[in-house]
Amino acid sequence: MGRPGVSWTKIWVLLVPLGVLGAAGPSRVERTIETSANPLISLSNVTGRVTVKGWDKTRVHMVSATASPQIEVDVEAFPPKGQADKIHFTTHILDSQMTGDKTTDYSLDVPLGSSVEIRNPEGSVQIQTLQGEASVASVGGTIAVSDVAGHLDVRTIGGDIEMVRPSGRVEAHSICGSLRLVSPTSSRVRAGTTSGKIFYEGDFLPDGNYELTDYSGDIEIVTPASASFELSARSARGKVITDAGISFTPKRHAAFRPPSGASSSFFGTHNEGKANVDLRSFSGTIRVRRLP
Amino acid sequence: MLDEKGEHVTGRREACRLFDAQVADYLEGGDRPAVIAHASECAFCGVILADLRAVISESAALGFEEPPPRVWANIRATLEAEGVFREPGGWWTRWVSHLTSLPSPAAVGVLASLVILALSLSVSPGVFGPRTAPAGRTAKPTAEAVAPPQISGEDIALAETIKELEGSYQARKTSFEPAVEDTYERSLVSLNNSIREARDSVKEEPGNALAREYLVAAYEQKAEVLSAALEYDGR
Repeated sequence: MGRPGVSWTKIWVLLVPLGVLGAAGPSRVERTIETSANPLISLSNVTGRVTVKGWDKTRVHMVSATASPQIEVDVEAFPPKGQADKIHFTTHILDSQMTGDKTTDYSLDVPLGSSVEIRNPEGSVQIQTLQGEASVASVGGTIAVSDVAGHLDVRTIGGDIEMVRPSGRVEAHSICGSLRLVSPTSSRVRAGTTSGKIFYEGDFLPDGNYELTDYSGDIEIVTPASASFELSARSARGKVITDAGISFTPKRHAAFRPPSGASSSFFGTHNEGKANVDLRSFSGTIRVRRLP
Repeated sequence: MLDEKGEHVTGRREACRLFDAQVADYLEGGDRPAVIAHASECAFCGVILADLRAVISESAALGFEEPPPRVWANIRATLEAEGVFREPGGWWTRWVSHLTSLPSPAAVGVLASLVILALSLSVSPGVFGPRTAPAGRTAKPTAEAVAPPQISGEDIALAETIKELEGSYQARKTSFEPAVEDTYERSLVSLNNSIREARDSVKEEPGNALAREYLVAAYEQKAEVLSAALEYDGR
């Protein structure tokens, strides 16, 4: 009778530390949820990497990895049964006094028609291939978005923003970060930063409006020779430089004289002037050149 | 939890909310004794009330001039922040709301103050009364020569508001993760530089419309960043 008792004690002595070790380590959650074709997906995280990819299935597949057992990933689907129209993924820090690593990494595969709202204050966000809208907010994280067809609203305080081939309306703002727009097919672009740089590479759509504003950073536009746009470029203390390879017909009307205070400005038409391009900087250099 | 004056923070926040809810009615002549009482106890709301009174008194002397689109955008953002209406895909307000969980009267107050600043800096220089001519120039009014914009008179109250907001931020930032604090600090340094540079430009060249425009924008962004920082819950 004594031996089994000893055995159980040994087993407990072995199992309890293992259980504690297991609980203290990172945890992984994987969920698959059937959805409608155009669900709204929101994700609220603290820090870590968030990756969202569109796929041609009407379900969401989520994998999360948390750095601590003090972090919980909460999933809410609406309606809870059947095809969800709305899903919330939320990271909860269970202990508000927690001082350790709060990282949670998310990887989401979502239907192509999804709209997403991502809040990841201290982490990075990457979104690929969506036909719906995307709204992303971060404090210091880098945001990279490619092939989003819906309205794109991206904001970060210190992080950089990269948008590749967006085709819906674009709004992007940062304070210290740089903005990079590559091959957009959007007809409405509004982007600004205070001290970062703005780089725009691509064409301008007929009747499109493109408004890029910087304070101390430079703005660089690289566009094909075939682009058709009216350019309004103003810098209060910096320079406006247009590449010799891209010819403009300057505006001569008095209404287009340099605004009060603009140390450098340029108003001109390239080709038929179908799009409107408005570039403003306070002390940065604005440069427009032809795509090689 | 008690604040530095020994008052219950939650109680004070409720009083601030009540102040926010009643101040418009009070300014339109309504009998709202709680507004005056609270403004005398709460420095922050006191500054907001002083701002609003100053604007009302000075706006009586204003001629009508169409402000730039940004002003309307700010008003719209303020109304959105107050929950009067919601617009999908809003501007910074929507962004701030993404990062926050509780609406703060301070943030709403700051946004309202920004509208005031935007209006005061956007209207034609000279509408707020006599100005001093810049050194080395005659004060002869012409279509080209404009009087220096007033950026120290009517904006003192706003500067005070932002200063108080900064004070709250300084107290609050100690609870931030180092990386978050660093990001906010960098952005505020950047915005302070922008404000300083734009202010200097406006002082040097009072007719510099671009500098004035950028000054307004920098103030807006700074207050918005501070508001976002104050409401950042770090969850």
